[in-house]
Amino acid sequence: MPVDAASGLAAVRVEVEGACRSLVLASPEALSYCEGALERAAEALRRGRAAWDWKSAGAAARIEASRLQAAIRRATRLLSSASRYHAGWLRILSAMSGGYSSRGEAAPMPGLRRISLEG
Amino acid sequence: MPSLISSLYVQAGAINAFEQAIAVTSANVSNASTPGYASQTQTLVAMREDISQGAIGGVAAGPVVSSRDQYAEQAVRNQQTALGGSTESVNSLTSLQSMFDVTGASGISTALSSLYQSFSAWGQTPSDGTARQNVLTSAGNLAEAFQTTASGLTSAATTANQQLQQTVTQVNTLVGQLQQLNTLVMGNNGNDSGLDAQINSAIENLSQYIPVSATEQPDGTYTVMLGGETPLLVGGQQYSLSFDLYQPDNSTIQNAPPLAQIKAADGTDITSDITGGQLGALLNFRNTVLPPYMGDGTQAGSLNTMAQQFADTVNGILTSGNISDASADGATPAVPGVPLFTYDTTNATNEAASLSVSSTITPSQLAAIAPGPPEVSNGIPLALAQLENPQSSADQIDGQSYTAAFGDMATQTGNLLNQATEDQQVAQSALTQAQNLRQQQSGVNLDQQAATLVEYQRSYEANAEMLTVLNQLMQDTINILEPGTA
Repeated sequence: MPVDAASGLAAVRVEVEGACRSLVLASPEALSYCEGALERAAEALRRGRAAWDWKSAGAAARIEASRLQAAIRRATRLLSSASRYHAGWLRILSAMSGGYSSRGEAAPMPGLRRISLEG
Repeated sequence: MPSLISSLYVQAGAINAFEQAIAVTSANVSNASTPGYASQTQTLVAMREDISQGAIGGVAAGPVVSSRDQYAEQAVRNQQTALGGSTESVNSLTSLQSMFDVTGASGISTALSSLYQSFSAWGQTPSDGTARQNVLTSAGNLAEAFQTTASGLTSAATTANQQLQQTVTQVNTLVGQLQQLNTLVMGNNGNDSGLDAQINSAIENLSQYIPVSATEQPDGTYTVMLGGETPLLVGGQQYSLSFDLYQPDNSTIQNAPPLAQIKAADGTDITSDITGGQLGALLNFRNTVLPPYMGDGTQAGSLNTMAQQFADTVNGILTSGNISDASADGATPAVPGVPLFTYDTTNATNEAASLSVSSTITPSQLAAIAPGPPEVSNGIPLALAQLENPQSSADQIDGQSYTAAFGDMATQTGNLLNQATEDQQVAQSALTQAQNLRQQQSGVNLDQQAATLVEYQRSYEANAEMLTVLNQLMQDTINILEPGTA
């Protein structure tokens, strides 16, 4: 028996909202969970497009779709802000370790896993 | 003997260093919840050891290092600005949306519907005095609804102007506090974690009003800029903002509502630079959201256009009709209809607020006869009733009925409010995210501080024990060197 679209969309939304909570916490463990949650949401949505009962989908499905859209927009914004934050950090670390290029940009870090000791 | 004394000095120095380290850790724990506080670390410095040169080695307390990271601080400020802006937008748009209610029992939408019904009823009984009176009453209610909405928009603009003034004052007050803190820092050699916490807390507070960037200077003071360009605070010098109202240079409408303007300390107009925070949201509401409805020096505003076009259309239909026919012998001419609505024709931005039913019109002066040919005795009320679903572009506004046009205004405000509400929720999450990221960088981790405290305490105790042993050794040595005193 096919799952109704509203319930399917709600389940996906729960995953996306879980990812949002992880993104807000922003700890390494939470971000690891976030990746899995978003992958599960994407997979559920991909499978649901074929499996869910769209014919009898009514207002409830539309409302759930709208909520899911809002959750995805929120996740997008949080991913974007976290990405900007860490990209900025990387630029600072690059400039601190490699200085600046002739074009005034932070030099790329020479080998991210390399450490240098002075004494 | 000299090395024993040196050892005593070394141990005493170590105890002093660990005591300071414990004090710094205790301060971290005490200030774990203090706004703006960043955890501090007491550095320990190894002293040079060269006995021949008199350098006895050991450890000493080095400088206290703050974990504050300006990059993480600025990330929080940016999100604070976004949240301040979206929160203000929600507040402003909520008040605006209440003026464009299409579901309630009052307002323009309901009054339009009632007027159309009264036209229709008049068309069925064109000579009926009650039906004619109902037309005048409904027309009066519609005019009042336009006036109320226009008045609400004017009131919203006035409130926004007041809030803009208050926000600018608040910004100047906060920058003034920062200026005082900067002065204290300058007198304190920039080495006070409490002052540093107060400054950063104040800058974060300021960032909810305006987009700011702050840079810590080598002397410990902070330079605060608005939008990265306009100085607000440099060392001990404050640059105040000011609020003003103005008419755009390309204004064509006399006595139109003015727009809001923010000026820098040197008088430069920086309105367009303030795109975020509470001040940015208020400017956007006052200068961008409201004018398309209520008008400004360059546009009449959709509410005024609607009021004017509706009044002109109804008046045009009524004056095209006759109140009474000409006499059969032609001795008495037909009496033409008179306008129903009046409004201020001298100010395009005052049409909705001034819309009213002509004070001289009476029910019997409503023209019902369409002269034709062929003449239709109820042609005028029928034509008026058809305005509800107009077929002719002349009876439409922007290609649609007046009811639909008003519905569009309500939809626009509703969409803006929905967007602002969603933005506010996302901004709140993004702020918490930025605060968590900062916490990971410079916050006080109580578990970590507890472990550090235990470590320092054990070091302190070990050194104290060592000192006791050395003291005993010293006493024993003295006793050995002075026989007979043991």
